[in-house]
Amino acid sequence: MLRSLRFGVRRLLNKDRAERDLSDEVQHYLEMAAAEHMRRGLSREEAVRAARVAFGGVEAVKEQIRTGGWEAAVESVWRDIRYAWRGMSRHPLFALIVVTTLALGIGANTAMFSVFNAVMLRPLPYHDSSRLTLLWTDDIQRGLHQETTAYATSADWQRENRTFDEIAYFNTARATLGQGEMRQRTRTAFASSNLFHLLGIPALTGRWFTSDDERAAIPVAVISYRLWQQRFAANPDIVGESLQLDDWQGKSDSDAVEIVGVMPQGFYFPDKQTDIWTIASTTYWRWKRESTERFPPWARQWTAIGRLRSGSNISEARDDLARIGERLAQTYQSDTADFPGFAVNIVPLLDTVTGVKLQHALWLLMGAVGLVLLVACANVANLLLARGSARQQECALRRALGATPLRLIRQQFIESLTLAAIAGIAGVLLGAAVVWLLGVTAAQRLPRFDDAAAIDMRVLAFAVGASIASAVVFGLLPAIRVTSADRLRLTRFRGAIVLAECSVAVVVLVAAGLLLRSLAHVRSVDPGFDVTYVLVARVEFPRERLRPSTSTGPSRYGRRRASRPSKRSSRPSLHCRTSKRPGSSTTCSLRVRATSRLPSQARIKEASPPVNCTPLPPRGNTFQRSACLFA
Amino acid sequence: MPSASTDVIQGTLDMLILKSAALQAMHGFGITQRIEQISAGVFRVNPGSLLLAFQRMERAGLIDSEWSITENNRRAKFYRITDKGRKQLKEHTREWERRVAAIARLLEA
Repeated sequence: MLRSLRFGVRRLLNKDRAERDLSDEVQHYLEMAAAEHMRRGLSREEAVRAARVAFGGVEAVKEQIRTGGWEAAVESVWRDIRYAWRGMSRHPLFALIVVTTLALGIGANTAMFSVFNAVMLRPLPYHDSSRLTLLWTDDIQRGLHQETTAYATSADWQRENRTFDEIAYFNTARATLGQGEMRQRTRTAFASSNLFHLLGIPALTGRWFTSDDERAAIPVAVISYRLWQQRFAANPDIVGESLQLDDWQGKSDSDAVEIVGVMPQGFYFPDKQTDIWTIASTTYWRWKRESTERFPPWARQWTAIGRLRSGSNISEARDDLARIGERLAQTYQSDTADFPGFAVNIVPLLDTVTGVKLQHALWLLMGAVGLVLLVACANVANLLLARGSARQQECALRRALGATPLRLIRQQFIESLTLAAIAGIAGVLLGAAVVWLLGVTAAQRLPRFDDAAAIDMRVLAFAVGASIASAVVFGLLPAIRVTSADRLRLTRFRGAIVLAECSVAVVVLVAAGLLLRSLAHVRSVDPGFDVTYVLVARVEFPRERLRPSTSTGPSRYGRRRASRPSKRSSRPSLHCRTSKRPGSSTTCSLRVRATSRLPSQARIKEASPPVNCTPLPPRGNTFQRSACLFA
Repeated sequence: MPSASTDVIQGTLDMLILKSAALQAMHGFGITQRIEQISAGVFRVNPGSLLLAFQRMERAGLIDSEWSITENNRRAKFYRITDKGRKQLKEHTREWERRVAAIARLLEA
């Protein structure tokens, strides 16, 4: 087959030489045949004529040989494309209208699919993430289906289950890193020693913590890429470094952990704020107390994550854990009133991150843009049919000259494909612009959208598929119709298309209107106080900075802000919560009225002492929250 | 007796071309002559089908071609069998003999 490829390519590249070879071979054959006839006694002219007669139609044979290889089909298609291009340059307005209509449809679909892909199709950054599930205690009585669990119960799940490869438990807590001037607030995860093995992503540097570390009871930690960059300046010798890790409430003695590994960029668990992972049984300050109890609410703080076995599915896992739950309920009687019981709710990890409602909404939106594309295709089909009545004469002439209907349909279809291809490129560009816009305005509100909202290979493949599908939908029918049907049927067909188009458009418009109204309702829910132009910032500074009259520090800051002229001038208020123990940190909520529209990343400028703010994801409609650290 | 056209079974023409080219490298008309001579006029070769078959078989790797200059200072394309072609010829021959034997048995029965 490679040989056939070589021959075809050679012929495509050097058509003149191929033609000359063909002529020479045929010529030689005829001469030899004529010579043979002359040998048998015919005269020269008679011999030549006899040879030609025996040969058959010279040009017909040559044509057969020319079209014998695969390259002839390629040439034919290329000729059709050039013909389509010429047609478009003759009627540029028509081409422009068609391309614009399709580009809008394809662009909308590309943008929507990009969101869909980023939120739902992309796997979570863990190994084989579709098999990861979260295990919650199901408080059926109170209707709370995602309650945290006691360590002892999750240990029973780990021991007795038959449907999971392994189960790990974890919890997050606020902690302080470092001492003195290098103090930093962070979120820490306390987990079972098999957590990283369950997640399956190898460390960038160093290693995970393992059950050996747990047995040895040495405090170890794995840190995130971001922490490594920010606090340790990507120090290549980070493994083995010691780090001071404190309970942020300062209720226990400080502990030093040894860093054994750094996770790669883009890895996060269970959320993007967690920067350091440690083993719960070794490092968690209240482990001894909490791990023995099963019923009190302060012991039920742990979330379990499990990796399903490759043969099991979720319903089997549910039955399995229900069985364990029943056994536990019979064995242990609760001594606490509000104990939720031992029922279990298993939720796939993706559903927890993105939420089932969001997934449903995305499906709905995908359907809607699909309908929009359908309307665009119907529009274009109509245009093609309108132009088709002029084309019918040309097609009739070509049929009379010997063209097969298939050939004509193919040529029309290639024209449609060319238009769709141009529209596809324009659509992808349009879609990319929309995605960029979404990234700027909505990245914080859509889970999983901010870190990968780009046009990647899958989205491009989708755009190509959409273009081809559009070409088929709008191009095939007019092609068939134009090459065969009579005028009357064309008109009736167009009427049907217009009707269908309008119906679909009305449906989509009504749905859009209803959704907009719902959105307006949600935004106008009254939280009970005036929220316009209010910035809530969390300002944190170590207690040593505060002088005994604690109002001075913050309100000096407050006064500075108040001196700025503002339309709705009201003194900014600062509410601080301090802890009594020395050396601990303070959390303050600073409410500031801004004078102009808030940018999406609010920054507090001209603060004294200077603040270093990192924005937090917004809660609710209009609040902007930041965690600010006094430098 | 009317001559059978080699067009009837495409495989027949291929086999005959391979056999002729196996004996000696030859140009198109030469192969026609050889087939017609050796079959004593039973098979007539259609030149169009022949040239088409040359193209097909060359692309399939059964024959190789070579341009050379004849005594009359003309360009001529000579065809030669390849190893793959020889293997194919052997298989075709075996298959043909099997069929002939089967038909002979049927006729005698």
